[in-house]
Amino acid sequence: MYTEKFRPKNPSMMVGNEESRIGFINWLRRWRKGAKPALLIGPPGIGKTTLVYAAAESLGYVVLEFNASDTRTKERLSSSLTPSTHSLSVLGEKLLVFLDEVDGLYARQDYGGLEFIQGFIEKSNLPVVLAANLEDDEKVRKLLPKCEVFAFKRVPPRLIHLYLKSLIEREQLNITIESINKIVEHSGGDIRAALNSLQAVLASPSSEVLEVARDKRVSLRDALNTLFNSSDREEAKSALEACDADILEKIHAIYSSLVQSKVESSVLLRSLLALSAADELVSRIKRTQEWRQLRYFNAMLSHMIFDATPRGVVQFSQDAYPWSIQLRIWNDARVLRSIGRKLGSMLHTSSREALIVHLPYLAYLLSRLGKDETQRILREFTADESELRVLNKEVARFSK
Amino acid sequence: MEILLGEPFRLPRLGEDVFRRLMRDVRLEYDRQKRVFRTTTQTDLYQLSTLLSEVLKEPIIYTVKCFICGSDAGCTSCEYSNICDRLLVSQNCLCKNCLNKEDAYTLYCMRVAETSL
Repeated sequence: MYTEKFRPKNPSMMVGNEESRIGFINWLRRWRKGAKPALLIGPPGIGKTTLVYAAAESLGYVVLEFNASDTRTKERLSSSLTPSTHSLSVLGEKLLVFLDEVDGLYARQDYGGLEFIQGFIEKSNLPVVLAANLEDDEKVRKLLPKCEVFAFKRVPPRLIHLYLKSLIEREQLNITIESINKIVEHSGGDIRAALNSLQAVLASPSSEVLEVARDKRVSLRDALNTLFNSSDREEAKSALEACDADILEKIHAIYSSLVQSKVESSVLLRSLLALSAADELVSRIKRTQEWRQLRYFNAMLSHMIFDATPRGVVQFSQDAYPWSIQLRIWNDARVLRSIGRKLGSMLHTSSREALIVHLPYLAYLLSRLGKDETQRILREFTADESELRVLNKEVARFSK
Repeated sequence: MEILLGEPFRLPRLGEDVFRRLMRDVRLEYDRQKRVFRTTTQTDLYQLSTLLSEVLKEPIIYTVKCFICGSDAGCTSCEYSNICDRLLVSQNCLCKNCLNKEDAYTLYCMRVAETSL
């Protein structure tokens, strides 16, 4: 494979993301015990793993790599990683722990895996590097405050061109300039895809082979921004299809983005009606168990939103709270977090979902009861005075 | 308004609320002494263009700089401009002049090595 054969051995031989690359090298160079771990976030194929290995080699580290999406459970992660928290080196070699694809951990099936990683990165005696593709993934969001974050983006086409040209000259490969341009155009800023395409074109010089090489996973943010901004209907559909997020997550994110945007009310109404039709389709599929229909979901949703929403006026936004609610969240954030944790554990859901989805309903139901009954239920839920104050405020909003 | 990614730029006074959003949501960098803003790798360019075009009432155009010579990379005349989304790619590129140099890749690698020292 060209991607292995021509993998750069030195970070300065890579292309693109200069600031993040330099930042990461300096992080590793200055690393001391107790320093925050590094979290590399960016789309696939732009050189995160290559950078870790190249930087480690140039600074004399040996990499202990664990793919978090393969080694998912708490027990497996623990047996693999715990020994490395106690040692600083093996046979005199400096060690670096690399946990790739941390967004590949699935919260429900791999219960405890994420919590273990959070604990591990705090205790480790070694430099720890985490890598993830999606910044808007909930698991990655939990890790962000505990890590030094290095954001990576796609590589500009001219830099991919430069890299391929230097490689072709060095290896004396026989390929035309038109083919290089086509490879760059099909790569979509993905250097791994460009190298795979180069290898495929050299093996079989036809433009059809270019299509298969690209790793098409995109984040929810990128998918929705393409959906809202692209002038090409097919591109909007492809972006939605290339996003791995759950269908309901897509609907929620589109809803949040629409509500947060400042489009005219008639346009907003049209867009929300289109979204509600998609939501209805999902409900119908669930009710009738006609899962085969899901294959049409992305096409239908993208076409309806594309037709209903003017181009370039809506941007991705996941949390669409009005200003007054945001202010209350900031003021009562600590107390709300603790309420969310308690409520979440009672309802077997995340504290975030408990606060956003369930708490308003509970507050509404309590507001329908008598004052004494409400206080009795609240005191059963918590004895903490600040939590009672915040909960009473929530109930009072509905009593008015 | 044209913003050269990664380079300092000035904005008129936009009020406390907009400034707070630029710092907290958009994650723009601000130099208090020089009173200039700068985009970083953490900056949300989508939000920045939406917010600024709304308050300044003019479109926001991003351009990237040449990593070798530091000049404007010339996005408008770039042969890949139709496939390059400046919101999605990293903040440096190469200008046509540097790209056409025989030892462009070596110069680029040397520049990265110099900067990381």
